[in-house]
Amino acid sequence: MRLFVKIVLCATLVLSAAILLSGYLLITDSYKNALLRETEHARSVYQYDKFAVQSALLSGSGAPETSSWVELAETLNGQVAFFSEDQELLYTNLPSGVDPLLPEDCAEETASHYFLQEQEKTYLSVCGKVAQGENPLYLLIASDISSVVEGRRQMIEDFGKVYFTTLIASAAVILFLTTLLVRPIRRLTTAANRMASGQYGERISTTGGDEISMLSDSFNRMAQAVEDRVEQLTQTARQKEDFVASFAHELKTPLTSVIGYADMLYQKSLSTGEVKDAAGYILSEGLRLEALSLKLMDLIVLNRQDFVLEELPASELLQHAAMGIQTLVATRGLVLHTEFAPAFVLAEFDLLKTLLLNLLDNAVKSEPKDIWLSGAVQGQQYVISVRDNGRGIPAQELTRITEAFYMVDKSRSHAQHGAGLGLALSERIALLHGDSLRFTSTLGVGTTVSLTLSCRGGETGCTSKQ
Amino acid sequence: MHKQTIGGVVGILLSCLLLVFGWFFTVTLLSQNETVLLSERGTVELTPKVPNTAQGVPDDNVTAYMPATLAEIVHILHVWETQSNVVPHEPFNGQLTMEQAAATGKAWIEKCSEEATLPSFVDGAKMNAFLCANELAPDTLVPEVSPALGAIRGQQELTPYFSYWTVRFEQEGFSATLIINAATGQVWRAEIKLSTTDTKADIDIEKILSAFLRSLSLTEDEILVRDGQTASHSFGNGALLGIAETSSTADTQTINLYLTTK
Repeated sequence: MRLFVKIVLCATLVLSAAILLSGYLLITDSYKNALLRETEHARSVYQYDKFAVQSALLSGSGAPETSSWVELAETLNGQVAFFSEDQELLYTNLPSGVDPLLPEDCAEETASHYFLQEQEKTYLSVCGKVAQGENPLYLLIASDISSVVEGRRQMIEDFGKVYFTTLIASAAVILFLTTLLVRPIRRLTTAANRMASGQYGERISTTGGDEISMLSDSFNRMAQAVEDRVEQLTQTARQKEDFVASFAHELKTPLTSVIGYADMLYQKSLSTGEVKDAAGYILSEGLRLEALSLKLMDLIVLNRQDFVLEELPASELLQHAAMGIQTLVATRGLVLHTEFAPAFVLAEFDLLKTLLLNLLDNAVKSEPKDIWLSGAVQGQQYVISVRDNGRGIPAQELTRITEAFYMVDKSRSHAQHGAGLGLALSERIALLHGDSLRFTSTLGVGTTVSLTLSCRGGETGCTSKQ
Repeated sequence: MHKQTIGGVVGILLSCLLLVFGWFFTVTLLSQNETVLLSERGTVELTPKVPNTAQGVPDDNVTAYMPATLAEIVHILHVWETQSNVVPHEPFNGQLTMEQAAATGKAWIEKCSEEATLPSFVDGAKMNAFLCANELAPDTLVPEVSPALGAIRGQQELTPYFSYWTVRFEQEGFSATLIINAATGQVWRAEIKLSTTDTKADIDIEKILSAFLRSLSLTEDEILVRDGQTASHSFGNGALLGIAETSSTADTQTINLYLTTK
């Protein structure tokens, strides 16, 4: 059952119960009051009649003759019956069909009343004892209150008309109002269905500050989150596809060379020099494959492990990195400049050393004359920079150089056994340390890569403990 | 058909059934309620229980049992004149019985007839009497009488004074309707009708008024105004008026005697 049908039915049922209860109480109360008024009036009439009978008895100094009852009854209000002291009926002008019945509780100083229903008419009878001198008698009067009963019946009939008319009219109004109220929910449902069919840009306009508007706001926020997440997942999927494609390409290239040279060695008789050259190519490409597999292993490990950052002396870490690259720097005839501010940083030693070696290795590959490795304190942070004065990186390439298998100059990278994974690995390590690599580069001038780490201790937060 | 649509249709049908059932249920309840109400019986005491006043009422035919002061007369008349809802009731402690009221009325007529030379009352006249009181609203019991006229007793003590007997005597050629204060036994209003078919009585309006006021013990020298067929005495600096009026038609002479505050 639809919500608006439920609301309409429930509201109509509640309204019905309220109308019925009100009508019941109103009619009952009205009828009670009408009967009470009639009873009061009948008692008053009885009292006047009683005085009249007493006066007649007093004037006559004795019980009237039988013929006088008629005359006396005509002077009284309403229809009456007289009974002797021993409750024998003396006279009655009550309507035919009404049995003149004297109740047992009739007494001199009281007036007893009861209701009689005869021949579709209702009478209110009041009786009591009239004592005047030595001739007491009982007086009973009957008032026709059929109009009260008929009034009540008419009231119930009118109430029925009002009840059903009100219900029909109210149901129509409730239906109209409920449709208005439910309309935003329908819009919400439509939007949700569109989202389910892939239209993630679907949004709902909201007005006012009621619950439905709040729900619409929440829906819009959820839709935005879903859209962002879908976009992110799409991008990730695309990156993975690119990764796999690049990986396949990077595998294929050295393998083609290896297979080609191996085939040549297998099928041809080559001179010693040619064999040596072929073996050299096979070795070179094998080394590339090995480097590729090692870097891939590192990436997989980084994705799967939770690393614990420890408080380490920054200068010692940087010193290790500098020593690791020193041989290569010396071989190329370059100058490595170091400048480390003493401080303790939160880092994972091996990972951060790998990152620094990658950055320094890239700096060496850019064919500079000088390389600077520095560590400086900036407030509560420790900034590590690797700067070179090599070729530099084109500005349009800077945003992609941390993607896996991306190489600025593929031929040169291959010549240097590069796989395009070093900076991707470094970026992942930087993220594990709560930051990302920041590149600034100018073609022909050089490149600076910096990374910020959290540090501990000291008045500036980065005072050395060494 | 769709499951939701079937559910909706069933729900609507059930609700309609409930609405109709609710109506018949209410009508049944109303019918039962009517049966209960019409089967009720009740008994009320016709004589209100009011504590005895200090003086009480003697058993036999004696008038002026519980005198009222001028201030109290003015106050009671004010209530009579301002309250319209009259209810009959049985006499209670401190008030005249019907026999006493009838005897008082008869005696008053005889005395007035004697003093004012009116046709005398004949035994055997038909009598009709009933006792009434105005339904009193509390604010009517707040005295509006000048304190100079005297003190007024409290509500409980004064209650019997607000009732009055209306006693009507009727015989051929003569009828009298008397309003008798149920506590004082004094005639405070009277309407006497005389038939003039045979002879026309010579009515001295001033004499009749004097007899009426003497029966009320209002005999001190006060202002008398006589204007044609009307005579009036003023008491308490105009707070109370005793008035006698006569009028006549072709076959009836009417004498009205009454006290008023207006």
